[in-house]
Amino acid sequence: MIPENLSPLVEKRLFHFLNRARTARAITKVDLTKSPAPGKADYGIGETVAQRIIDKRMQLPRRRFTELSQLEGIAGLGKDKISDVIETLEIPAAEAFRRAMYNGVIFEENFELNYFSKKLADTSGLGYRSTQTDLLKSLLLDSLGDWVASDATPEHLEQLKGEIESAYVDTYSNSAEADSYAWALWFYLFDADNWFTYEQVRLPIARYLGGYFYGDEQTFHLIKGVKNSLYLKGGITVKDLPVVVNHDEQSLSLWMGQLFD
Amino acid sequence: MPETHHSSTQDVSSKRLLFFFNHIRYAKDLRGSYLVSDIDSETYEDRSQALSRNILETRMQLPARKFTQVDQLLEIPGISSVTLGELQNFLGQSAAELFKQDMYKQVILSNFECAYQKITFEERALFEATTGDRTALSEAVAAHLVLESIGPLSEVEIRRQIRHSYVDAYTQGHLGSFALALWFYTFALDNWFSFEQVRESTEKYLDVHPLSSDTQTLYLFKGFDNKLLVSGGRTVPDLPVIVNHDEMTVAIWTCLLKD
Repeated sequence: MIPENLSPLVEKRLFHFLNRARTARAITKVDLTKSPAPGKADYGIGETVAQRIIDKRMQLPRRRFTELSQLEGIAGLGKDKISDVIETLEIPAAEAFRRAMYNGVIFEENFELNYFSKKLADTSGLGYRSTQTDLLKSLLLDSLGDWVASDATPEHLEQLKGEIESAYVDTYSNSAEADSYAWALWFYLFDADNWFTYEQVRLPIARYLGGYFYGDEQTFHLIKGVKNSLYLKGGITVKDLPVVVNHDEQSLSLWMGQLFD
Repeated sequence: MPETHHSSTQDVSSKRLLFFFNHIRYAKDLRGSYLVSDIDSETYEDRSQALSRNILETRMQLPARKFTQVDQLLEIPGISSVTLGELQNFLGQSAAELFKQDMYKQVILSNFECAYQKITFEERALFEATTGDRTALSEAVAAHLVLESIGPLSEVEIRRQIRHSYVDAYTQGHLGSFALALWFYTFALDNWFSFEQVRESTEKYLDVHPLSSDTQTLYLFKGFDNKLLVSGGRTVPDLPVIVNHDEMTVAIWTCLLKD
């Protein structure tokens, strides 16, 4: 029933999702489906099957799923349904967040929100307790050519390089909640209260940085004072580069935004 | 170097008094003003509503629907010259002091040691020259902190850290209120107060509110280690410095959580 070659990341996310649900509704609830692409929202697990999943879990040692085989034999949980859930969990967290932002907070017509993601071999130097700011900066500088606009002049690149090298890197108290307030302020600075309220933008950020239903461990950093305008052109931009390190995906995402007001 | 002392001018307190009465719209605007005591919580709402209604009705009868002279305030039913004098004294305090009092009244408990040091300027030209230039402001802040520092080693470190800090500036009070609230919030992350609770106070301090009409700018000296200034509890990085353009003051904030 379980698709073969499931990645360890998706397997972890699947267990996190199913083990975290306190009620059947938490499994059927849209919270999981708000971020994924339209059309993927309904993977068809109804409350009856969801309740069977929870009942099965309660019979397990420590009341947790730890093996994929434990999902076998739950009536109504067929290959298609589990595949749909897995497909949702395969979406990178950054992409899920971007879609969530366009689903009720910002508008595609006037707000361009993008990210550049980079796979990392090791994120241990980028955790909250051990953030090596020089390492973070060098990772961004190494990929400069990938995320800066292709028509950026050598002078632009040199200026940006200097800004990143000398920038102060802000982190917030080992707390996704505090991170969410800081990043929400970054969005809010674009256009205070005209297009979205502070709380409106903060909630999807809190879900993203809090690990969603994925349970991914993430750390958030703001590279202070670096201008967005070198790689985004024509819209309103604000200073500071938000960077999210996803320790489960082993990736780094650099966020950029511009508002056409 | 300007001297550090506490003062408030008559002009500022009269301006604030008129601003206060011109901006009362709802009963909630009176909260924290000491105009209506909230000790008796059962009658507080009724008394606040009655007074805010009286203020509004008196104001609406004036030309341009605004109070322009302090004498006009005595026409408000329920406002005597004694009450007015007390309120004027209350509003005559510095914006930083009003904020500190509001924080202790509405947000934090005695396990927080929240304090500010104030640089007061007597001359507008010197104030503008100092606060209008980022380097001059940094030097003034460092020089003031060194006077209060706890040892010769920290003097050097204070100067070094202030000089190398990235300074985040918020010229709009509303936006600054979020940044300052986040600074307080990182002390305790919802253990002692919510973000919304503290932001209500920072908004009163930095943005337009009947209790605070002054134009202010928040500078956050990012990464500054507050352990250089206070000890005996928990601190968080960043030094909030607030320039009050009406008072011609610079308030430097420190906070310590004894958790």
